[in-house]
Amino acid sequence: MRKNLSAFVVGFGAGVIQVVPVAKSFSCCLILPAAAVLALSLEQKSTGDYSPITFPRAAVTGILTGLWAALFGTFFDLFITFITHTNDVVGAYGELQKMISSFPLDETVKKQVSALLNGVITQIKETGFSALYAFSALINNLILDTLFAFIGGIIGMRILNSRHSSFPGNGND
Amino acid sequence: MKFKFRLAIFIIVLLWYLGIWCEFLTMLWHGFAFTLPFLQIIYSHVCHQDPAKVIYFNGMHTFVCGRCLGIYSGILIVTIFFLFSGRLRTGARWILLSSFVPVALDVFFVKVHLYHYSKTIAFLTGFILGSVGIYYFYETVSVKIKESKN
Repeated sequence: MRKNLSAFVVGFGAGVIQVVPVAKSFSCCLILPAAAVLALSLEQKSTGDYSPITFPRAAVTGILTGLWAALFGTFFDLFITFITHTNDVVGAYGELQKMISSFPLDETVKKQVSALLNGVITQIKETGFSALYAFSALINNLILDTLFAFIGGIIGMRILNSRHSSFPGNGND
Repeated sequence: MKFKFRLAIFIIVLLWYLGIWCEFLTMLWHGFAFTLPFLQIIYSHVCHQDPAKVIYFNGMHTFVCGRCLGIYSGILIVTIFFLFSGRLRTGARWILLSSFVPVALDVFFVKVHLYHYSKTIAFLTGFILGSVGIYYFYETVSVKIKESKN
């Protein structure tokens, strides 16, 4: 449990940072890989075990960090959207509408594409919640955050283990 | 790592990269237009998509900012290299760590108004970080797979 606590704590932090506009614009897609590296480092400190991190350990910590970040990030995103009745997608809606209308597409296609997004935007503006947006945000975050954090975990293993030897982050599996 | 795994990784990375350019791909096949709203949502979770920082060509824009585009371009280039070579040399830790420096410096200099945000600089710094970062990822995974076989 103590081993996975760092993934939970850092995942929570990453989930928060993902929805804070200023912090988000700082490093966007680097948040999760960095969180996974931090989780590995915190895990070493909390357990006092500074032996080389094994590949499975790095992968599990990275994936758990990503999962927690996805769950917390989605929750905060939906919660803030529910309160404010707006989010990034609503903000970018005007731009996307403009772009679609400028496309040399059939009018029918343009209308259908606009209607797809319009449904989501209208629901968010009126009720603060769209089931389609919530579902896509959750699935999207679960896949992307886990993947990015997994990559971060492996790179983190490499960084932290290189203190022990010249070999690429070798853990004694 | 077997070629089929490297090919699978390459296809995933390529699809992700092409998604960034989906607005442009719509010109090739109008059916891509239906994916735009969903891709807008998907990429909004990995990039702030600041209109001042995304790349524009002929009124169309990428779904990620200059820096993220650089990162993913670096990842794609290294993935192509990895697809055909399959063997990566072990690099030193300082190279990996120093790949973060250009990004950090660029963000810092822009924030302290030493110079204005430049999409080119953002792209290049992102490219260095993305390519070096993913190189070390592939290298570590390759070594581990090789070890597990022995």
